[in-house]
Amino acid sequence: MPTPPPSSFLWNGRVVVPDDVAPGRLLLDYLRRDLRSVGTKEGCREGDCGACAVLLGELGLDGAVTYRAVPSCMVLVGHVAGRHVVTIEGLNPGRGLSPVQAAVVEHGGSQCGFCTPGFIVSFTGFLLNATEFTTEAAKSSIAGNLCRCTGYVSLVRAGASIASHFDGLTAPGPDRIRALVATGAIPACFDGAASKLAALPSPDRNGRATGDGTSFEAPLGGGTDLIVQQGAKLDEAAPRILLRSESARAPYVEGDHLVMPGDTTFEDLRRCTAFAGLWPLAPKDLERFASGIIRERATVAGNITNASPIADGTAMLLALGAELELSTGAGTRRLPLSKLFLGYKQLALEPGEIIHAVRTPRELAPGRHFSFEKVSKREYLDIATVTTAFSANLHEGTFSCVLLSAGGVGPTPMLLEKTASFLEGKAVCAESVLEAAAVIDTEIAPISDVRGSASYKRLLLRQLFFAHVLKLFPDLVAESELMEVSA
Amino acid sequence: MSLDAAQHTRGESLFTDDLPEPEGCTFGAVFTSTIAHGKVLALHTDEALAAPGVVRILTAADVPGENQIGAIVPDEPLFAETDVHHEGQPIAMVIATTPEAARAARHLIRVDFKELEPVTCPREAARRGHFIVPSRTLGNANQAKLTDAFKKAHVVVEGTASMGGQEHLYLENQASLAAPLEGGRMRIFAGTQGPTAVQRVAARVLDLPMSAIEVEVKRLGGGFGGKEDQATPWATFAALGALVTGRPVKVALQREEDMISTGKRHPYDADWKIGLDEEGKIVAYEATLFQNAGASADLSPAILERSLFHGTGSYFVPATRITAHSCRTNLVPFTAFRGFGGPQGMFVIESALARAAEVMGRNPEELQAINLLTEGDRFPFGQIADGCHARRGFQEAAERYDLAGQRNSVDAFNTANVRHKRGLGVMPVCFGISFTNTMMNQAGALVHIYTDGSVHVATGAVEMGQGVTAKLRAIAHHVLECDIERITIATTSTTTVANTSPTAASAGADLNGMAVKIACEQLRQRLDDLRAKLDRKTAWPELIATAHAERIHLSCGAHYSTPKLEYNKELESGNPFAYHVFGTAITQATVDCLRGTYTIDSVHIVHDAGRSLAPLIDQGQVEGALAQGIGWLTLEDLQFSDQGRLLSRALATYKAPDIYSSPGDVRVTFLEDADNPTAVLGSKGIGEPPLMYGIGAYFAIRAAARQFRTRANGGDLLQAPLTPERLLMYLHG
Repeated sequence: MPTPPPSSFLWNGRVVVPDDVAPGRLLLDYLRRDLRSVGTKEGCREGDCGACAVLLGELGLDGAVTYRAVPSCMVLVGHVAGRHVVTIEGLNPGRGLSPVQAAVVEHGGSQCGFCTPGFIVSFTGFLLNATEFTTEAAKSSIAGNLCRCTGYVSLVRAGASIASHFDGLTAPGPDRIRALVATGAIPACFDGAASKLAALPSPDRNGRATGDGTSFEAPLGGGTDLIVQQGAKLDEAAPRILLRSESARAPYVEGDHLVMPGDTTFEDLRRCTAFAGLWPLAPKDLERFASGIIRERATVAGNITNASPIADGTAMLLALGAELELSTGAGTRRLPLSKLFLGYKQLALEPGEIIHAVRTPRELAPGRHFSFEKVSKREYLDIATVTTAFSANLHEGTFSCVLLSAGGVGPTPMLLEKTASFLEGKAVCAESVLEAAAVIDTEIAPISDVRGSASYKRLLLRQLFFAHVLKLFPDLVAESELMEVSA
Repeated sequence: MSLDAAQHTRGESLFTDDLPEPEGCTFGAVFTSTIAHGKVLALHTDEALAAPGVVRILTAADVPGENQIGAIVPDEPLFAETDVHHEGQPIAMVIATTPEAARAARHLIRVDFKELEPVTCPREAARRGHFIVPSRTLGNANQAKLTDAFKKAHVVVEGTASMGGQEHLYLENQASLAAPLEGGRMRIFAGTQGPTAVQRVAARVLDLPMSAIEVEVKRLGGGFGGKEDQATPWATFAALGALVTGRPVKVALQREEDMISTGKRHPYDADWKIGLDEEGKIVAYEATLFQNAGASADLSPAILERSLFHGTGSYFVPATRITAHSCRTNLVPFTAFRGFGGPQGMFVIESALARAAEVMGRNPEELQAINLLTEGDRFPFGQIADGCHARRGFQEAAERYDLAGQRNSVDAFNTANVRHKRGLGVMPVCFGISFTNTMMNQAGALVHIYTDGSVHVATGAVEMGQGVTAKLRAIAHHVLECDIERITIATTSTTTVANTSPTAASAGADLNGMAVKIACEQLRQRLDDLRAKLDRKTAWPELIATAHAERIHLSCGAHYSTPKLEYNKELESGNPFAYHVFGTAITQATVDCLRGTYTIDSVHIVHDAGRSLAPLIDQGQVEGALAQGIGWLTLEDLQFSDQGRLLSRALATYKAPDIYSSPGDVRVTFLEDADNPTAVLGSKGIGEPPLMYGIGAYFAIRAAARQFRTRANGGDLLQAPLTPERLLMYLHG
């Protein structure tokens, strides 16, 4: 049998060769228009609604396939080469309903039905990946799916019933897949996927990127921003895709450092015990970054190079004192993240240079504290109005080595250096915090836009700075001292 | 549950954009105005026409009939010609062989505009006298009587309130597919709540008789009013394209196109004045409502009317006058959205009561409770409150959910906490059911029993997730008493049931269900007569086969019109509603006064669903409407620039409720023994009324914020939506 072309992927039970379309075509368009697979719905084309969710399976080094729910409007055809794409049609049992489908029906979780396939996909992703079967975990799995009919109450009921029904499943992996196949929760095509994928060429399993980028200048990772901004242009392009498989891009510890390859996704970070252990609230704070299905695609380097002033990941990394490994292929150099941003969307990158990796300390030094704060219109799955992170050593009741990052208050994500130097050696008390707030005010220049007025952003950053302090040093600063401060 | 829920979960339900595309199908991309107000000096389409895949470019010049789609007022062209009145107004349509080619070519169209100053604020439009229709005043007191009532009041409070618009955010964007049929006929698969409206307008634009146009609707991926009138242009574009090119044309919008070009819930501004006696009883209420209608009438006059009808909420007001202006601005034509003007009217009087309670040092729920309507009270428009459950609903909610205990625990929490404050918001709802345009309260049904005993029920009702098909099936089953599996609900089509009203006004199951009931009763009568002659027990299939053999007619069409409705607009008096729906919600919210953020902790509801035809569906309607109501007044922030440009034009900038912003604890119970004698099988309409429970969430957040700070010059915090920005600026700004 001849080897299938490198663009081939497994779609439900069969191999598909998308050679008649550009690798930059949206998977959603390819599914709906080219494959006429219309169970996958188009709601927004920007990853915000989850109606187009599919499962994306990837063969790991251990020979097991890992499935993640992703929005197919945020995935390019070039992204899925050598992978397993499971659409709603691929989740249907021959007749009747899977337990997930039955639970959604029974609890009234489907009204108009348009968002429903996406919810079924996300709930199925939960069955495949959950490490705890709680209502909260089930809710979290569908947090990237919007429903305008139900108000979610019935979907939460469905999620609770799914979670309790499957509680006690074996750990995620091939055994769980077999168990789920055996109970009819997922169809048999999952069981044979590993061998089918092994028979496909995998352009990136060994770290090689797809696409030469000749028709699209910017290289892309997950593309969660570029696809939104330039989807129409990508449709006929062959972009250089930097996102590799999960095992190739996993963060690792090297000496005193945690190294995140540039294509590490934010969900990889959340799964990475080293990163999740950096500060106590890290797993919670990471949930404030987009939704789970977007976090599966959004990369650390992408979040940085996109240079959005309100990038949450950048705000976190700035306050962690991150350093970048930049590479052109010819050579590499290191640059502190704080030195990357020259102006609005202007970066200190040489032509052709990409962020190869991001380095942070592997753990916070004893006595060092870290806090992340963000306010957006909607608490979850929303872009920040203001995003900020703070880290400092508490040394004999005083601040030292302060790093305070702020996004949404100037043309770039920034470290507020004057404020940091002001705080150096100051006692951790309301008075110095209030004085520092005045310094913050001199360092920022927010503008009014759809996310908020300039005066609101200014006030909000001050409040979030107070929140950092109250969260980290409740014994040293009383809530009441920072609550009645006029603007 | 929804009739098609199982196939929804399998992804097998087809929406308009999912339908198999007919041979030779082409795709339309509509080119729209980038400015809010201006003259069109020249339109350049040559470059676009030469682009790959382009079949044709349509403009006003290609319209064989009237270039006019206005339903109530003929003030809205299909294609703008000499001038544009809002951003997103259609000017031309590219038809190409793929949707990608159509959109790419659209980028090549250029217009020379002469920009004119846009008006975006309804008060400014009113100052300039830009009204869609003459303003209306409704009340039970003339100015002299009202002035007198205010003079006698113990307390008089006045203020303003404002509400933002709301994007429908039906998950399925607008879509239609038109295919030419033989003999100059046209079939349109339209994503519309009003197939007859599409048929009527397409006939007018295409210059065809209505009989030459068939409109079919299988289902909608959400409507919420956004596909009542606003689906019509897209269906008409598709039909016009199909007529001109002779090929099928699909027009399916992407989200941003949809958000920019389609109407939404009306923003309102209002002035209000309320007078109360010592006990807290309302003695006088006066309000002026400024409806931001957008650039053309659409359904604004009817929506304005409902704002008037619901201007006094659930309360009896002995002296009231409410004036409403429909103000023409240079924004997208605002349109129907679940509640249809009612929520805006109610928000204003709730604002007045909330302020009055503050001024009087009372808990707002006390004032609400003593002012509720009682049986036999007269609404300001003359109708008598009949079957009034306002007090019963309120009391049952207060008892079942321990309102007094909730009040105590909220007060205790606020005493104990500095940074977090909690608020309680009670929202009694009284919502009239019927189209306020009396003529529209009619429906038809056509029921066939086939010789194998299977039953086919057709009506004008459109299924959009509200479960109307399941209710119609339950009604047919109730009457015919055959196995329910034998009954199917037909795709909605103008060829089976004609001249239908849109599925709207919470009346879809009421009107169509009653028509189904009548048709089924006639069939049942024929079958009962046969049974009587047969002199033996006969199973359904055999009965039907025998009936056919006996040459008994096994099809029946029926028509229903709601009795006793009449309204005199000159006198602003009459009986516009068949009945009212009641209920009460108790909401708790917690505000983080440091960050200016909030959570809705709980919403506990007692709702009057009559005798529910489908309790799980009705529960879902209450829960879903509640979320939309909360969204409207809290996080959904529809923003336009001063130049009339939509700023919140994508889901990245327009935030609707997600799973985490929805209340943690939602409980819904239905009033028991509340059979409604005026609707089908004792039921009540359910779609819209629960949306207004969301108003309670606004006032819960507001109450919490005011626990932290009552600002002398920070305003009364009566501006919705109550976004984190508005809240933080209020708390600390």
